[in-house]
Formats: sequence, C-alpha cells, structure tokens
Amino acid sequence: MRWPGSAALLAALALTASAASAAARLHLVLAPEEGGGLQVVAVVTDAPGSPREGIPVTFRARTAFGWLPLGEGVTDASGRAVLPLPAGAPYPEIEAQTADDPPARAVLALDRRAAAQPAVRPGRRTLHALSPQPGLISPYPVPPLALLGVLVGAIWATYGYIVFLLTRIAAGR
Amino acid sequence: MALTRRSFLKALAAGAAALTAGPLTRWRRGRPVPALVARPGGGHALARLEAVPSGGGVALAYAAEPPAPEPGGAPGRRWVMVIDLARCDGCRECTRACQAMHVVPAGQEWIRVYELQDHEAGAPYWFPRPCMQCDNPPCVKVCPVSATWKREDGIVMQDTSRCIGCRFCMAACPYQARSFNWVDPDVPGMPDEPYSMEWNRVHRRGTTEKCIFCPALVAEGRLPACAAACPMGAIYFGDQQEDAVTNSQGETVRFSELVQGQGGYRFLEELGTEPRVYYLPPRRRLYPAPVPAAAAEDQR
Amino acid sequence: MRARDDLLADRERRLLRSLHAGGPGYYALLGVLGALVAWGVIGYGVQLRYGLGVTGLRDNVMWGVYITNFIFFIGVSHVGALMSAILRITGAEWRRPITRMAEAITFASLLMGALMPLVDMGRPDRLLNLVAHGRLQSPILWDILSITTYLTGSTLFLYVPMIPDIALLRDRFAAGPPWRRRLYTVLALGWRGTEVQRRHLEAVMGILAILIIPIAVSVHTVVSWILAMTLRAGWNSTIFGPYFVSGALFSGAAAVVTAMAAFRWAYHLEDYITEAHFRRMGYLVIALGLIYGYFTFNEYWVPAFKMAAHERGYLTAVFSGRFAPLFWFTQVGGLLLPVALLTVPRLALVERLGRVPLLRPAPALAATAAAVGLVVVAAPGSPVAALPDVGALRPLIPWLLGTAGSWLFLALLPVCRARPIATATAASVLVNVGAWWKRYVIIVPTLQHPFLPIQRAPAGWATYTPTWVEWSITSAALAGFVLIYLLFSKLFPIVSLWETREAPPEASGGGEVAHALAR
Repeated sequence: MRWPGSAALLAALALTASAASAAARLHLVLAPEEGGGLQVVAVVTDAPGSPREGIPVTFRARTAFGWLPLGEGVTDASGRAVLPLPAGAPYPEIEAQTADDPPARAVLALDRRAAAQPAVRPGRRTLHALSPQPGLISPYPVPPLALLGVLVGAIWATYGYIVFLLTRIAAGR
Repeated sequence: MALTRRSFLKALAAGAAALTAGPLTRWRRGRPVPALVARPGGGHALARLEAVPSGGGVALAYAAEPPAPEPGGAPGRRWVMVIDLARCDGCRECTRACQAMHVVPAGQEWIRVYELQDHEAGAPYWFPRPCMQCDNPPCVKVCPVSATWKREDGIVMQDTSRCIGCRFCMAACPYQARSFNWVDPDVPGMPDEPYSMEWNRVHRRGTTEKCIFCPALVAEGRLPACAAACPMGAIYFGDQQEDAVTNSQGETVRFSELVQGQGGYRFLEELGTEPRVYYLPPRRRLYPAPVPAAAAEDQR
Repeated sequence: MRARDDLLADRERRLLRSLHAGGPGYYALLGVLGALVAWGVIGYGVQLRYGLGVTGLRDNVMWGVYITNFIFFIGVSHVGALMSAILRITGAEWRRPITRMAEAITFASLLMGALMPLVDMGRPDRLLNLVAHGRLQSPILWDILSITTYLTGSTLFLYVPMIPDIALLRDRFAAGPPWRRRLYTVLALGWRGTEVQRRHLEAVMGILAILIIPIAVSVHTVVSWILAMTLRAGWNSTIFGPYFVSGALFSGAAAVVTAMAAFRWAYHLEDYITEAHFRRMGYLVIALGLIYGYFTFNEYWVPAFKMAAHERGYLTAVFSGRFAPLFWFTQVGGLLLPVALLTVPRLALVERLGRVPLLRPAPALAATAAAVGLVVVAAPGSPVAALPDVGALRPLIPWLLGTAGSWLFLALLPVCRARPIATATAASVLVNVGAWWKRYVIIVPTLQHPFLPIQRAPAGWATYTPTWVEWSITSAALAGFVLIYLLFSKLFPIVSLWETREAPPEASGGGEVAHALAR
C-alpha cells in the first residue's frame, strides 16, 4: 500500500489558536518520507513562537474504539518531535500531546475514507443490501460448479431421453 | 493520483485560506470543528475534525488522499477480539450483558464461560467463548440457504428470517457457538419491534442464533456488549486493519503487540477455521482458579 | 389380446390373486399400519404446534432419531436399484423373481427417507427457501439433488420393466373397478409387445441399469457427507462415503431378504422364491456384511489405536461407556451374528453338534436365561445391585453373556441348518435392527462429545433421550414404508411375470408362452 502522491510533500499546518495557553503551543505537521511512509512532526513552541527543547510528546492515533498510543518523543533543539508513520497506516486522526502542564494537544485529521458498508466475501456484490451471497464461500480455491452441472445435467438429459423412448413405446413406433 | 507541484501549491493556498478563515469558523470546545480542507486534486471540501481537546490545542487540517485499498483486500474493517484469560475471573458479566443486549432466549448463552483444564497438571481456568467469527467458517459453508454468511468486516452474520432450522450449522460448528430456538422463545423482555438482523433482539422458534459481535453497537462506535461489560477488561475488541483493540477500561493497545507479546492463540487452531477471536493464555492470573471439581463435573 | 387364465401357470394365477382384495390378515395389517401412520401424523402435528422442543433434541445433540431414520431409509433404499442393476447387467438369471421386490423397496424407502429431513426441519414453512436461496456449497443441496435424481431414476427403473406386466393387468382387469383399469391403461403406455416396443424397452433398461449404479453410489456417499463434511470427532473421516455405502448395501440386501420371506409367506410364492434364492441372497448379505465389517473395523480401530484427544470422548463412550450396550449390540447382533447365522449352519460339522447332550437347546436356553437374569438383577439401580459383592461381578457381565450366547448359538445351529429360510430371515431382521441402531450410534455419541465439554447446559439438555414424538414419527415412518410397499404389491405383481417367463426353462414355464401372452 502506498500513499498516493508520496513523491510530493503533502503538507498542512496546524497551528494553535489558543491564546490562553501559557506554557506551550503545539502544532502538527505531516511530511512524507522516502519509501512512502509519513512523518508526523509535532512542533512545540512557547508563546512568542520560539522552539522549546526537551518537551516529551505523546502521539496517539484514533481507532475504532479509542486512542491508540503510537509512540513518544522528546523535542529537539528546533522544538520538533517526530513520529514515523508506516506506509498505509489506516488511522483517521493523529493526536499529539505534550506532557507539559497544562498539556497542549493537537489533532491531525487524515480524512481516511469512511469504512465502506461491509460487504460479503469473496467480493461478490449482492443484489440487495445485506443479502447473503449465493456463491461458494471459502478462502481457498473451490472447484467450478460447472463440473457438477455437467454431471447432473447429463443424468437428467439421459432421463429425458428415456422419457422420449417411453413416448415411442406409447406411440408404438 | 500523483501529486503535482501545482496541486501542492493549491494545497498550500488552501491552508492559507483556512488560516485567514480561521476566525470566521465558528467552533466550540468539544465539538467537531469544520475546517477547510485542501484536496490534492483541486477543489476544497469541508471536513470535520473531531473534538478539540481540552488542553486548548488546535487543529486545522489537511487531507491527504485516502490510502488506496490493498489489491484484493477488503476495504473498511476487520473486527477482531482478544480475550485475556489471565484476566478472566469467571464472573459472567459478559454473558449477562449479552443476554440483556440481545434479549437472549432461555437456555442459550451466546458468550458462554467454560471452565477448562488443558491437562491434569494444569490449573483450571475460565474460558469465555463467543462466536469465533471464523474466516474459514464451517457453519457458513454448510448453510443451505445463506441464512448465515461472512461479512466483509469479518462478522459471520445470521439471518433468522431466512433460516430453515436444519441445524447443519450447529453440527458443523466445532465451538458449540450456535443455539437453536427449540420452542417459542419465552423471553420476558423481548421487545415488540421489527426484526433487525444487526440488533438481533427478536427471536423466533425453529431458527438458529449466535453471537454476532454486536454490529449495531459497533456501528455506533461502541464496544460489543460483552467487551464493554467486562469488569476485568479481559475482552479487547477492535479493528485488525487499524491494529488496535480496546477493552472496557479504555485501554487501547496494538493488536499485534498484544497477541505476539503474550503468546496469543486461537482456540482449536488445528481445525483450520481461522477464528477472529484470539486468546491470551491464562498465566500470572490475578484471581483464584475455578474449583477443579466444577470443571470435572461435566466431563462425564 | 386378452390373457386368459388357462394360459397362466399355476403360480402365476396365485401371484395375480394376491392383487385382489386380501383376507382378514391383510385388512388387519392395513389397519395397524394406518393407525401407526395416523399416530405419527398426530405426533408431527404436536411438533408443528410446539416446535422441535417436544423432541429430545437440544443444542448439544441437535440431530437424533430423525436423521438416524433418514440415513437408515436412504441406506435401505440403496440395494434395490443397485443390486437389481448389477444382477441385470451381469445376467444373473436367478434375480428375476426378486428384482421387482428390491426395486420397490428402493422406491418406498426413498419416499420415507426423503420425508425425514422435512420432519427434522425447524421451519418447514420455509422449505421453499431451499429453492429461492439455495446454496450449492451446502451438502444439503447435494442431498436434495442426488436424492431427487435417484428417486426419479429408481422410479423409472421400477416402472419400465413393469410395463409388460401392467399391460397384462390392463387386459385382465378390464372388468375390474374403473380406477384400476384407468390406472393400468395409462401406465401400460399402449404396450402390445410389438417388436419395436420390446426393442425400446430393452434400450431403456440397458441405459437405466448402467445409469442407476453411479447414482445409487453417489446418493449414500452424499448422505454420509452430511456428517463427514463437519469437523466433529467421529464424523471427520475420509472413509465415510464407502463406509456408508457398504453399510447401506448390507442393510438393503437384508431388507430384500426380509421382504422375500414376507411375500413368500403372505402371497404363497414358494414356486417363485425358493430356498436357493435365500441361499444366494444369503451369500450376498455375507459378502456385503464382511465388506461393511471391514470398513467398520477401520473406522473404529484406527482412531482407537491413537486415542487422540478429541476422539477419546466418543470412542470411550462407544466402547465402554453409555453407548457401549448399543454399540456392541450393533457389532455382535447386527453384524457378527447374522453373518454367522448365514454361514456356520452350512458346515457339515453342525450335523454332529446336535448329538452332544450339552448342546441340546434346553440347557443352553436355561443358561442364557440365567445369564440375562443375572445381568438384569445386577443392573445399576436394582436393589440387589446395592449389595457389596454384586458390583465386583459387573466386569464379568460381558463374559457371562458371551459364554451363554455362544452356548445358545451352538445349540441352535442344528435347528438353523434344518430351517435355512427362517434362519436367513432372522439374520436379515437382525441386520436391519442393528443397522438402525448403528446409525444412531454414529450420530449421537459424536454429538454428545464435542470439542468443548458440555457445560452449563440446562437440566436435560446435556444428554439425548428420544421422546414419544420422535418414536411415534419413527414408527409411523416404518409403518408408512411397509404400507407403501404393501399397497404397491396390491396394485402390481410383486414378482415380474414376463421376466420370470423369459427365464431359462428350469426356472420358469418357458419362453414361448411368454411371447404369446405378451402380445
């Protein structure tokens, strides 16, 4: 799985809007990596906007039922803590939080496409909404139904021939 | 689609636009925040950001194209459950919650807590058994009318409005996970509502039923009833695509780390049913083991 | 064109007389069978009203007597068409008087067997879902396909060789009740025995006799797959197909012997069905029994040697646990004893056995009665069983019964030798009773020992005991089978007239008459 357009920088900035925050400001930047991965960069600055070093940052991802801790980092001299995100990480949102007091948090929405309506396997679309599939269900190869059809069909065709012969008997010819 | 430099500039411009529009966007704490989002393909869309946390941090965002689905892979979810046997103390809150959620008829337990003992020298342990939602489901294979089938998100669904009651699925299931309504279900709280497959609260005689991972709750972003009710946080539930499972205590952990780090196994793996329920072995338990006599009484 | 009585041989006249209204015995039997069927219908009504909860089936043992019946009837249906086809193809002349009997068994028991899954269904009102939503992956669909195919084929196979006889009946019953005449006229297909008609008939029979063999084999294989396609220990076996086919042939051949004896006695067919027929069918039963025994041995011995964890439960239950009496009855009473009854009395040695004083029937009978009495007395639950020493004797019970039984067997050998037909009949009845219980022992112990131990089952849900509803429906199914068979034998001659005439002169009355009559 690749991020489309991984060659180019997909950038977006998050910036703080909280004037009330006395301690730190936090924003998240997304940067592509060589090889298709992504980097989530948390930038911690103080109120005037100069980078702060040595602030522990926790990254979390939003999952179906809760925030999954992805990792922790400490900001460097430029106020940046980096979380590498593997290619194809399916998270809709990434959150970063400083351990400062009071903590600052920022959320980055990756706008992952909403999960499709669950369909039935193996991919055969059904006629109506939750209709069960009519085909064979197995993760493994299954013999073609045509073989069975030929076999049973041949038997019934023979029955047909027999009935034909019986009509000949009835007709006396 | 490849992102060109031009579309990148567009995105940047959009970001700038969003910045200037910032004061205009009305937002409140704890509410989804509308934000202008740039799409690499051009054009703008309004996306919703989840609640801005209390810390005062802010988010404005950006949207990348969603990751392309794996070739041949299923988009969306793959629900998975992990049951930590070391945490299960056999209280059966999961069973009760399930029965309350689905108004389960008498005599059935869709998640049943067994008392198992693997060998004579081993300690007995509690073993909650929901439907294993197998990826190679024996029940689905034998159902003659597609009353049970495999959903793309991994759930083995059951439609009691189609079931003909042949009970082949019960014979095929190696986990005893299926129950049959032998008589008219006499459940005091059975609601007077139309049958909904995903809620599965209305039962009828002559059909087979089972645990279905509470798809109705899951669609609302809530844990299945049993996982949410477990006081020990022993039942984790989540999306294998996200590699994350959550338990009732709000712990969200990586599914792969949990299973790989703690010797997770699937019950009766040798049968090849490929269950979607994983178990963590009952070691270093925090509660007394079940009384062995109780485990032995049913062994005949 | 009219067949006249003076052209018929004595035995043919006697055979045709069985088509007219029977005596009081016939009506009594009809009444009993009708009552049994009616009672079963009432039982099914109760089941329809209250659901399958009126049966002894519960979540653990979810299949029981109905599926046992299903497999049993399909098994019995097996031999008719198959045996008849093989004997036709190989040109075994002695088959001629019994092929129709065998084919009619197929027809009657297939009807009953196909009914059983319907009775077993939780929602018979949704039967059409099988058509509307049928999935070909399910072995149930394979069953429906193969049983329909087999029923069609075996009905044709029964009907086509009957056409010349029906034509004869059409002519003979010209003055009979109109419905009968109409029936015969329609079914006779205007048969006049012309050369063209005979050629067509032979062609049809040639095709059918070959076609029916793979179909018959496939039917019981597919039936066995209902069990073998699951993962359950005891069913998860690769030899279930041939195992069931051999068991079906064995029980089916025995059913033919039973039918031969019944019709011979009831319709006085001694001229048609002779001791030689019983002897030959006996050989068939012996051979099929040995094949079946070989498969059974494989099926139990291979897992029993290994005693793997999952298999241990049902094997122990079957060998020495709850199901041991049933299992050993099916093995000794349903397989070993019948085969011995059919073989041992033929040994010349038996003549001398009768002269041994100890082997007279009286002492042997007394010993057996004493042994059975002891077993009953020592059974768990009886007052005597509470005595301290009785429990210690219990391991001796199999030896006691075995010794007494062998004694009785030896003592009865001369009697068996003197009465071969009665012996063959007794053996065949034993085979059929044993076959039914064997199916039961294949189904229930496996369900009783699933992978997960049966726990937290509500009272009475852990074990399976069939209820009166199940027994009523089972007896109704058996009665229905006999009833269909009986009514068939009243509508059509149970022994083929034209085929027994075509047989070589020593077996019947010569071919020229047959030709003359068939016209």
